[in-house]
Amino acid sequence: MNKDNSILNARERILARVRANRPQAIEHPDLPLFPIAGDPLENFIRHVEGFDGKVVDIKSRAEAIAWLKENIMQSESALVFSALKEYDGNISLDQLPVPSDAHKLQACVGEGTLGIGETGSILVEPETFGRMANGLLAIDLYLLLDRSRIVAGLQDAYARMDLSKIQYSSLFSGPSATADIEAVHITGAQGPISLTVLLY
Amino acid sequence: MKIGFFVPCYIDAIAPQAAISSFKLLKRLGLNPEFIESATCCGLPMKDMGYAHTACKVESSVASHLAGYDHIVMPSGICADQFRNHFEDLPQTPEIIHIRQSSVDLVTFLHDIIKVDSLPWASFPHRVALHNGCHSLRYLNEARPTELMIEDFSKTADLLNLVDGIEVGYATRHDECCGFGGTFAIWDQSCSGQQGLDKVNDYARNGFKYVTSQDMSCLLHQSCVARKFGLDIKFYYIAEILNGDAN
Amino acid sequence: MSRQVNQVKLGAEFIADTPHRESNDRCLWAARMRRDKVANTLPEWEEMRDLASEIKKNSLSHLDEYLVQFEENLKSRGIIVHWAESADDHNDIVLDILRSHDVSTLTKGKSMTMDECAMREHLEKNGIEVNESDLGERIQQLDNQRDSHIVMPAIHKLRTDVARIFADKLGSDPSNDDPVYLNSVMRADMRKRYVKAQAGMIGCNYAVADTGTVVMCSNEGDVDICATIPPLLIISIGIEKIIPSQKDLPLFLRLLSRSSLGYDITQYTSHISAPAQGQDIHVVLLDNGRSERLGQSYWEILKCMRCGTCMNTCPVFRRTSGISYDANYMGPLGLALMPSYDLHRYARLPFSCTHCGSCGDVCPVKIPLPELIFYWRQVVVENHESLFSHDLEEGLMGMALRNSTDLQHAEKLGLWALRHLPSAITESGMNPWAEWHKNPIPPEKTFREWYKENFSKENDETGNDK
Repeated sequence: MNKDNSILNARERILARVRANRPQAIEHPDLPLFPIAGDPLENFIRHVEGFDGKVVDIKSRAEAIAWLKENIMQSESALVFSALKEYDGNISLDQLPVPSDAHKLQACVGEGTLGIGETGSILVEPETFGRMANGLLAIDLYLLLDRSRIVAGLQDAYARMDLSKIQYSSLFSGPSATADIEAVHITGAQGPISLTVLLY
Repeated sequence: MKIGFFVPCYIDAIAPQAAISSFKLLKRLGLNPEFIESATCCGLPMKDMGYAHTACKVESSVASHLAGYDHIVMPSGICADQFRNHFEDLPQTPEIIHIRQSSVDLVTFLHDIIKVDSLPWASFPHRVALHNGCHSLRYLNEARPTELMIEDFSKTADLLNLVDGIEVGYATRHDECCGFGGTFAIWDQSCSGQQGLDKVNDYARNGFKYVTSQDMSCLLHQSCVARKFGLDIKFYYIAEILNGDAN
Repeated sequence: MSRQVNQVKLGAEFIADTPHRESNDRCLWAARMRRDKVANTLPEWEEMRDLASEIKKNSLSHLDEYLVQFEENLKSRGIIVHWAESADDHNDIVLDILRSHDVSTLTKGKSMTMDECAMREHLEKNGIEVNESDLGERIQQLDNQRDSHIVMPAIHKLRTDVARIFADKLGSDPSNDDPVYLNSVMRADMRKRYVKAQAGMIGCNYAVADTGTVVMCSNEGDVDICATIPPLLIISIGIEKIIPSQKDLPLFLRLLSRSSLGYDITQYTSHISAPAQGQDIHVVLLDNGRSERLGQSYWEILKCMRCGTCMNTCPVFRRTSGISYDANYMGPLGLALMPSYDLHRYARLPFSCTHCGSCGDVCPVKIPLPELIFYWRQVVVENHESLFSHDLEEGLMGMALRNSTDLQHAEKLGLWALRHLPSAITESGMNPWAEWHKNPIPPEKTFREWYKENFSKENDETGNDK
């Protein structure tokens, strides 16, 4: 009880100090929409590749599914989780009872909801991978993306999102990476080691 | 136009050539600069070290000698910055405000105020590295600092390019600080020295035999480091080249 | 009284270590060059810096309102919000949460806010295993050393250092110092720890008030793993991290990674607005002096979004490394911020600066860093925290520079010494200048002497000297 009081008081005290000390009110500026040079699709491909992602340019969604079937090896030692309806993996969410079980995955397949030309980013949510953990702990990540969903820049992308409605979402730009040792760039840090984007 | 000529303390004693060439150049351009003999120090070293109170005393003392000029020209960006931007602790009387506004580094004066467009007497048939001193660059806007994504300009290079035969170039690290930093060179010799050495090595790697700058304090530091490490590079204050005194 | 940090001495030690100095300088200068290159592709770069600064000012000048809005939004979705007045309060709150969930091991993403509270040390003391998940931070944890950079914590180290630390602490091959190998050692080791972790802890880059969203920007994927895999997540947020609206977010994101590392964006830009099913999220809002700083003349330091670009560009920082500042925030940011935490301990930091001004020009939110550093020097002097050697220097200068007569006396003395004393004396160890410099070559005459000879009677209007 006492503790609750002191926490409540901390809030009141902090807010009171902020109120007493805050600088003279400064208006929020209007933000212009800055144009992004170049073609969004070309920019997107260039940036994904710049972040060491791989782009497979495919004519239709059906062909993308066929590509997955042909190129992803599945076996007992190569567990694949797919969140797509048309493509089955060899392990289901039920067989991964806790999120950290995703560390067993060789590959995870899903579909991004938005692409950004300016940065080569792809918007994903937990649903994209069945669960966020799958998209973070799998070694190889495959993301389908409808090319009509590529927007020019970050500003355009955020204009299409409503962060108040999501639980979690993320912009993935290439596979995980680090440069913490002598600034040597290494692709494949703690998340996926590879990212393949299937553009249809 | 009444022009006062202020000679900073460090230039008077250690690098008088910078002031001599500047003074002669102003005369040669048909102006009549008046050497302000009684003025000695702008207060920068004390201000720089945080001694605002002592700085104020020096500032008000020097200010008493600076009244009545249309322009106070000085061969020193660091002092011009001090007069213009750091005289805020003095009572802002009309006289002080006038001193702050009329104090000007030689390069700004030549480029912006009298708009020099030819120097027929000056010839320097060499490749020379231009070092824009940090204060002139970032506090007096005499050139574009490489950090700022604005249209490129360089008042210093514009002036140098009026000199016959000159080829203006830069160290690889274009406008990285050389480490003088006023009193910094005394209280942090290792870092100041290493910065200076990195700078002169950069010139040497790029094959520069000559270096110029609008900031004599940078040049004093760099030249003493270059001599210490046996590098054969000559350092000229910009007015020495503009007035044809270099070589 | 706290022991004063001697950045000059620690920096000199790093400078003397040529391989480390050269590597640190090369890596950070490369980041600065990449920043210039990508910033230069955006014609709106300077306009964006202005806007980002204005938005941060707007945010700070209405901070109480935005904080309440942020809190209400989080609470409406079941996120538990705590308020911590001090570092100790922060650590107590975190420890209570962990104990109430019976947590004995956790993974933690990089957070300067948690580091500011020395939280890891506090939890470890209380028997909780904390595994840093960022590679650089993990290296520093295993080496028991502070971060040397807020974005690249181990950038001052060489690969050979990392090989030695990993061999020692993680049992890797001591003779293999290939960064790719070392990264794979880290990855394999952390995988085991992610599986065991009962809680995840992370910091925050932007706290969006109007949507109630925590935004994290990272590259390794570790922050997202910490945030989504364990059933309990604790997020520490300095109260200045608030931005008003989702609409502001792309502006900051467009500036952040480009400034920081010279890349268009971080590999992961993630948003948390609610707990996942079965997940508990606690947010700790930290004050620790921020609300006081808000009322001070240096309040604009609170605009900082911790990109580290001021460190990358600082010529002193690159040569002395962040280790030499012995502080949670180092480089120009540290100079302008640390004295407000402990004036005595950090009294000498504001002097580790040449006033080149580059930090102010690269700062994506336009904090007037050079002015703030200048300001702190005066505060140090006013509070009698200045060094005796500085006081002495100031006294001598004050005497010499009083007027032109005194100056000429001092000049005569100095020039006499330069001209007549042997260099064995004038360039001896007593002269601090002489370690890196030859003395200046004394001129034949001072300007005043030259002027007197040529112009005192205005007898030579041409300006030619004799």
